[in-house]
Amino acid sequence: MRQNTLTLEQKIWLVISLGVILTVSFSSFLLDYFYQKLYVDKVEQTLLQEGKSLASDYHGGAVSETFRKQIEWYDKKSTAKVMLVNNPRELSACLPFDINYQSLISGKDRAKLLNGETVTKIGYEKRFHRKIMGVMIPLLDGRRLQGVIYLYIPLASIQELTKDVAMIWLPLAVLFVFVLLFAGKRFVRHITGPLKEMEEVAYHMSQGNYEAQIPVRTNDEIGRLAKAFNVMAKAIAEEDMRKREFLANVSHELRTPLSYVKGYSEAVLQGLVKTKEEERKYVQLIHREAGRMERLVRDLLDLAQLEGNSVPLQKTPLVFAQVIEDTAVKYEPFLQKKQIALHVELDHDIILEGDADRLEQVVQNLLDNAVRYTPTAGKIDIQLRKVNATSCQLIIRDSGKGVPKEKVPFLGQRFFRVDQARTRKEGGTGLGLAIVKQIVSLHDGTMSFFSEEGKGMEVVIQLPIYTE
Amino acid sequence: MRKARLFLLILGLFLVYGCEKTTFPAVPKRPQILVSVNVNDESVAFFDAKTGAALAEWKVKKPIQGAALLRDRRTLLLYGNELDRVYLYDIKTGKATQEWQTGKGIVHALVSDKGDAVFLADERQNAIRIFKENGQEAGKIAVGDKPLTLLQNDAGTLLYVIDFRNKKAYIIQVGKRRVVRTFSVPKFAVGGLLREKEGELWIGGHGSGNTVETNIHIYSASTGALGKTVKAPVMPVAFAETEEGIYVLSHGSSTLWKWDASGKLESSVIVGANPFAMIGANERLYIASYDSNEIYVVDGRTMKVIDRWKTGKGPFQLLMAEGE
Repeated sequence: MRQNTLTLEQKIWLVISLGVILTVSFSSFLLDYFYQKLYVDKVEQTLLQEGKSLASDYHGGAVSETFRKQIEWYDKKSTAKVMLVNNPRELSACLPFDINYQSLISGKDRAKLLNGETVTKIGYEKRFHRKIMGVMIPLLDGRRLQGVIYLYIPLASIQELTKDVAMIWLPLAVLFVFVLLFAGKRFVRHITGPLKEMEEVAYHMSQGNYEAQIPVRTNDEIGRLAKAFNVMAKAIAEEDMRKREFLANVSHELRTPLSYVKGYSEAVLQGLVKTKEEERKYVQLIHREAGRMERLVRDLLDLAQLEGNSVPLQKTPLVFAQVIEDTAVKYEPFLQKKQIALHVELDHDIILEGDADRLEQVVQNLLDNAVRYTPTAGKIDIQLRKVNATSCQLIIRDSGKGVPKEKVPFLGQRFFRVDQARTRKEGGTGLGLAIVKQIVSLHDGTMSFFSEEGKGMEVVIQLPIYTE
Repeated sequence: MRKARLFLLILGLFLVYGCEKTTFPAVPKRPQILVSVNVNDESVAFFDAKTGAALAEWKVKKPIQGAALLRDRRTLLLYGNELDRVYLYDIKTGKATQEWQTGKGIVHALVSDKGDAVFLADERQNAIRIFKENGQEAGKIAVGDKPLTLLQNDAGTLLYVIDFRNKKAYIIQVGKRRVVRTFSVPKFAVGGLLREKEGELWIGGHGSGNTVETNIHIYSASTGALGKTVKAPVMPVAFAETEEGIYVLSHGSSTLWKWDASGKLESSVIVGANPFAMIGANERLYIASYDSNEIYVVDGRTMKVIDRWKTGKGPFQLLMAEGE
């Protein structure tokens, strides 16, 4: 099939034009029709009324001379032509005989008239050599058709009237059509303009230029589409930026331990290590950095899995407090080492529908952070409580150095670190909170941070409670 | 199977029915039977001419234009110019007796008073065709376009043919089967009365064009010379002569005129609506009122309407079948 080569603009304009032309021609047809019909009907009614009124003066018997004079007088006064037909020939009285004469009143008309009905005639009448609108009123004496009052007006006079109307209507209609077509063209251009711009911008975007924006002029569907397009362009631009940033981060994060590993291993290989002890220390460093890289890769993989939802969660109803307790137990050695006081307050009645391993990961990552940033002899609170019948909160509060207020909104972004210097003193991958955030959101929960610099940090995770 | 058999049976019945000759109701015996040929509903109605009792109605359903009674006074011959044959029925039994394959164009039929001859006026062959009563064609005499009116003398030796279109009348000697004299008549002349004793031929008509005939033209029956005209407006088309006088029916004015035997106008009366046919019998005149579908019975002496009988639509010809 050949593809349609018309543009949308052309199509819409074509439809509008067709609509306009059809409407105008149809309305003119209707106008003409109704005008004719109403006017002709009116004329017919008038003629019939006049004719019947005239016929009411006939009282049977042969048509009298007085009556004929009366009709003739009326004919002179009336705008319509009024005739008294009483010639039997014209009345088709000789019908059964084939007399080859075009009677004024046909056999069919005669039959109707004999029944006392009136006859209306619209069209060309040979006898008058013109188109007429006429009515016939029978003058009946019993079943005897004594005559007919024939009233007619030339149809030309009616058509002249319609002609007058046409004289006014036609130029107006033409003007109307042109104005509408012109306006339609403008309108179509107005509609399709933003579409064309969008096309151009999309093309630009495909070339990697995400800066272009479509001007939004209206608030209709097209305007909203433009807006949505702009939002989309912005989102793509942001996503693109995030991707670059992410790549930069990943490479940066990987490069640091790699450079350690490379540097120390080179030192060992080149024999710069003097003592056995020094060598052990170097290998330990290499081992530590390798471990960091492993964690980084694992976290990245985790995050990718969570974001891509490639490994679905194994959700089962579970006692959340138990998960928290089991995790917290693992941290006892670290807590004791840093002399951190852990205060746990858990509501054991709370049951969640969740993936136990993933939830454990949440608690673990949060506790990792808390332990990491809490100074020696600090304290950590873990609290699990019901907020209402459908949701609960896990609050982990530490007495660490906290986060500056302006940086709180960025917590949970990949590779976001509060200390931009990216020192690895605290040793995280920068992905822990991002993973937590992802798991929480997969459990239909939310995560929020409350912190001020120097005043510790509070992480609140709100999750829905399992209801049967 | 059963249905098929039933269908075949019905089909067979139809075929048998179709093959059988049409039969109409028998007309009860009466001394005088008035026959009305109605062209608009294509029927023939029979009345007791004395009482007016309707005896029978035949729905012929063929475009018949007129009829004639054979000499046996019981065989009715039906014709029409669009029919390709003439049909003969026995009115006593209602059964079809004969069909004569004449071809289309028969516009009038006259049964000879003397001898075995039926004159059929043929507007296609432009001739008077002579048939024997057994249907055998016995001769043909060429005349004008549309020989609509046929009259005969008492002896049955002369036939007067008045043409409707070509303004001519013909006198035919039946024995010799040829036209012996032609003379001019007005256009659309129709209807006539032959007064043999007076040697007069009265001819009516419609008038041509938009002029209407108001006169009866009286010609010499032997020479065809126009003797005089008599006023009888409007459109005199039917004639009858009885012992009471001469009657003429003008359909344009629905007027019945009466003259005495000497030709003096006695009276006139308006009767019927657009009447075309009249016959006189029993001192009465029977008039077919075409537009009102009635037969008017007028007393020939007083010229008063004494009865009106409803007949079929468009009565166009009347016949009197007198008992044997």
